[in-house]
Amino acid sequence: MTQDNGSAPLIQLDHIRISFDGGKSHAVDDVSLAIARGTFVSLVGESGSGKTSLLKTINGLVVPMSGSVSVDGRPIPKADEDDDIAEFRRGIGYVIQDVGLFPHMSVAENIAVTPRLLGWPESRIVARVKDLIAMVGLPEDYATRASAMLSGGQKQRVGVARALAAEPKIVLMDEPFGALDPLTRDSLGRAYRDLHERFGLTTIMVTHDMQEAALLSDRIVVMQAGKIICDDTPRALLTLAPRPEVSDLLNLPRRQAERIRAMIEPEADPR
Amino acid sequence: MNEQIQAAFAVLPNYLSQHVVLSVAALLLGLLVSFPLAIATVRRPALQTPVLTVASLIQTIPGLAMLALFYPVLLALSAVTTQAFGLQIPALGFLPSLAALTLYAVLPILRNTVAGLTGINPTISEAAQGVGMTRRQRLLQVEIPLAAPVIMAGVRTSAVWTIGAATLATPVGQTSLGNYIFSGLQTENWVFVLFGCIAAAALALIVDLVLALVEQGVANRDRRKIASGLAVLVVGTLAAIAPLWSGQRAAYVVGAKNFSEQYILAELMAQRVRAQGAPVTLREGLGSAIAFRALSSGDIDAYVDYTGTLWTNVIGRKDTPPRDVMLAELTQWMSKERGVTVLGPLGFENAYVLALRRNRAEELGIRSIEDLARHASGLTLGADIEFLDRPEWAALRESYGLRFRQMNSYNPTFMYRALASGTVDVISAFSSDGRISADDLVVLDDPRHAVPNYDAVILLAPKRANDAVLRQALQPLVGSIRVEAMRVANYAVDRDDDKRGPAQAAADLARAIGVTP
Repeated sequence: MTQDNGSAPLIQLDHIRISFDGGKSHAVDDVSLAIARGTFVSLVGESGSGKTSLLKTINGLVVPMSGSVSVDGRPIPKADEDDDIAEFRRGIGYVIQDVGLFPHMSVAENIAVTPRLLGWPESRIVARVKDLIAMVGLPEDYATRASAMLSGGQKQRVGVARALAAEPKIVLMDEPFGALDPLTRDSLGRAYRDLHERFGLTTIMVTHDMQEAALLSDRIVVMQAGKIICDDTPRALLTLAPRPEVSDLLNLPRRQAERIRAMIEPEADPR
Repeated sequence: MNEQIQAAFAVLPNYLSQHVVLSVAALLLGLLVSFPLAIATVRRPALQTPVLTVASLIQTIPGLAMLALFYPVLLALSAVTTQAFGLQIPALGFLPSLAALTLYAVLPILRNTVAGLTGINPTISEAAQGVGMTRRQRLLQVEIPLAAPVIMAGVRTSAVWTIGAATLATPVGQTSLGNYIFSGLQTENWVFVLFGCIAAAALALIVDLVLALVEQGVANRDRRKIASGLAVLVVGTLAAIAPLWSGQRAAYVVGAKNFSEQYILAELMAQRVRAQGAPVTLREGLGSAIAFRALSSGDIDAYVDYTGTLWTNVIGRKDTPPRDVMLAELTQWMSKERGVTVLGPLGFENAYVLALRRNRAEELGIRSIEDLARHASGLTLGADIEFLDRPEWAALRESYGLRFRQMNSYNPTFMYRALASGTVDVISAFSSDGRISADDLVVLDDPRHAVPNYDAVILLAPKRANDAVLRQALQPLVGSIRVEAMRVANYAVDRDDDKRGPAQAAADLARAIGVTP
């Protein structure tokens, strides 16, 4: 397990076990993970590898059978402590694949949800919403639009803005760009990475796309069948190719790029 | 016809206002019950099936039965509270109607609220949790707003059902638009029946349209539509119930069972009490057993019943003593056992009798049931629907050895037609029925007194035993109505041509018997 040296980790998962069938099988099987402040971590793996479940333990949406989750050195509130867990979640940005914008609220109202829950003064909320709309690359006049009228890419920009609205230190993202077309996906991913730097965020992103993980994150954690099988920087993974399952995933984009080049220059085909 | 419509419009403010008050109260109470219930069942999915099943079961109980069911329930409850706290709960009228209609209003709202809340897109629920909403905040800020159009659709269904079912409140003594229908059915006043149906349907339709506007407003998050829809509802409700405020509260309640004679006599009594300067309301269309219980519990102050009915059904006696003996014993028993005052007989009888057309009776030489028994094997009896199952028929059959060639049951109108056309020779009739004079029928004597007397008597509630106003108003009626006069009044209401409403017939009757209404 990679442990960032120096200061204590911001997020600490210890011996997490998650089961959805009362213990007969484990979606996540005895996983420990420590995440340092300011890092961008990608959780990568196939469907069913347990990456999403592991992510959701951090904001209490999934409760592990055993093991503990601490943020900033304190265990997170229990799921049945409704007020405490809700308050805790307001400090964590959360972005999901299907966005989940509230259809009865405008773009601005969606972005303002968490600041309102926190009781920010209205003037601060208005200014913050305006800033965020610009930051995620939406035109200013989108504020008053009904969220149902937006395209998929625009919705996810609003989703990112909503997650960042209350100035969280941690952002959890579950396949945030998975449903977008490749160009939007690339531009929104890069835009987010800039915001991550700018605000000094700690980001944990679940994705099944190794290329996206490699391009955006500082650290890649590969999961398989509920366990972590690999955990390193993108650079180390790309150069050292630790295990065949991981190197296959890593090499796929490279091989695809070579095949495309072969189409353009047939004589250069290595095979 | 025109007169009937005018008469119908004259009572519309009263009927409509009471109908609206009942419907609105039941709907609001239904909302108050079903909304928290729906939220509770959504939070505890184990509750969902039992709660919805019970609500659906309640819905399958026929409306009339449900309303009738609340009468004994409230009566029992009233007995308990009277003993425990000296607090009497009225078992007739508004309360049982409200309780029954509320139960009816619950299901559509409950079902739609549950469906709306459980039908929320899981992604949106997850997002609501993710942004840090508490359970309450999720419910108020996300789930209810998103389920609102479905919930509103349930409220709309519920409103239409409640307005329709409120017409059934009449037989338990709650005035509603159903009064047109029930009294119209009994007096075969089809103008009234139709008027009541149209009024109730129109009310339901208007409310449905306005609620549709609100529903649309909720679905499109159009505040203006919601506000204007609600404004129309509030203003409409206030306008409809305005007559309740302007009218003073009724001091006296006069009851009537569910047939023409009772409607006329109740109107007559009400007119006499009003002439004393006291306000009166009518509780019409009461079931036969309900009327007496309502009187003895004080829900109504006065009504007319019949000695034979009270003798068998209330006291439980099987013998048939002579008229004077029965009246004296009855008066004493009522006062001693129930505190009810028998003010006195009106002067006519409404008994089950056997009747023939005059020419047929003369041709066969039949004047009494004894004469009839000798010819019965060659004759056909036409009876109303319950007669053949009643003790009066059993008593007649046994005392006189009546054996008819054939016996047919009809509704009253067709029974008289069958007699006129010669399809039947003898019919079971009520002795005060106007058609006896109008069709020139002969009522046969009952020399063996097989059928008890059914003298019409005025009864007063225990709390009105010494009420000067009631006594002064009603005493002059005692002994003043001969059966011929009652037949004329009944016929005016029952006939098809130049039909009179009960109030008009009562006024005519008052003039005919020489008391000023």
